[in-house]
Amino acid sequence: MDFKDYYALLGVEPDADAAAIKTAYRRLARKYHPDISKEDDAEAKFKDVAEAWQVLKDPDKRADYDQLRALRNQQGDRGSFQPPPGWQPSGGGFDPADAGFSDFFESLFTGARQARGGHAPSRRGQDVEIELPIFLEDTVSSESKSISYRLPEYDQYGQVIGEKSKTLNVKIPAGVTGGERIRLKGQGIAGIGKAPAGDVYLRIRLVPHPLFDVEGHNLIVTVPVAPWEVALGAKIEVPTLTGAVQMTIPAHSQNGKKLRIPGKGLPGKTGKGDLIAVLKVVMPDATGEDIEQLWQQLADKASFDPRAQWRR
Amino acid sequence: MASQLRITVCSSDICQLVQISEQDLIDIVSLGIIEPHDRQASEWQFDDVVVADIARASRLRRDLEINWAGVALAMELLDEVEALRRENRELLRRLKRFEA
Repeated sequence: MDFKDYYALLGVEPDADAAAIKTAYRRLARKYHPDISKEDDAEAKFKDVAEAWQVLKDPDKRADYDQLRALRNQQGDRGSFQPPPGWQPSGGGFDPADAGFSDFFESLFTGARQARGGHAPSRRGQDVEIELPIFLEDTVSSESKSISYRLPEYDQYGQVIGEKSKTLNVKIPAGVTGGERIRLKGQGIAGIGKAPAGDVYLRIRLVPHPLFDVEGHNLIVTVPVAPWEVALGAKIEVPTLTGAVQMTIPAHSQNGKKLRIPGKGLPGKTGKGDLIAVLKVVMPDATGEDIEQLWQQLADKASFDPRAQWRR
Repeated sequence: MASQLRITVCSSDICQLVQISEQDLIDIVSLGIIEPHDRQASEWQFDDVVVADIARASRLRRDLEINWAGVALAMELLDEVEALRRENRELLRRLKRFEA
């Protein structure tokens, strides 16, 4: 296993005092805490920082670590690390805060205790948070969704010995919104000893849809329309999550006009949301000379100044 | 139709699940980090998803070494940032649909 340079992990000098180490830890914890940072490797970085802090904040542990570090520097050994034979940490008693750190940490501070035959005390399994991407179509169907995830497996000492995969069928509750969590009790990491397993939290993420946007429980669809459709009015077909519906565009509709189609939105806790169609006027690509003439006629006849407001 | 079942947990369950004291729970509720169904009730009842919020609050308090008031502020701001980011993403997507 690799020797961990706890001072480098916290970005402090080996002779830093307790106050400097504390400040360094707090700054890095704020930066990498998995409940704060959105960076992918935040959790791993935070674990390193927390482990370094767990050792360096404790005078006994720090002294033990410094001793090994000095020994290693003396020998100039840059290869794989093993604690010296007969190594015993000077701190006593099992500290539950010592659980879950690296093999290096274990070999220094908890491994020796296990070798003496101690079992880890019972501990409730950890909770797991899983992001569950769901399509908008899933929120209106009543089918359940199958999710698979991997959980670590522990031995009686609380050591990770492997991984197992788990598959659950989950019914998506009607009216879920993006960012919402669903708790699945007891489906998380197994407890140690006789303690119960942790829970799974599914965090719902609505997958962006090619046609529909979501606003609360309403769906928004942008509807491309021809200039004459907004001028003269038209009956058109609009897609919904459950098939197309007819919609009437009133004559003289402005670009960006919103038309509400009730009950065609997402299911909510208090009834269904609506579908809101937003008109987007698009010009035809290529127009022939005869079409140009018709536009010219319109321009001459309409005597319309769209920027009249600017001249007031 | 999908199930609308909501699971409720009571104060003592929560204290046991996330290993906090009753006083801590009272602090957390007073600061508005989590909301019981009815604050006036003789025993508080919560939606089961608040367990994750308390676990998160406890982690922040322990790892950042801040008090519950600091945790409440941090969580409020973090949640707000997340909501604004999500809203911003959605508005940008809608804006894009209108560009020629």
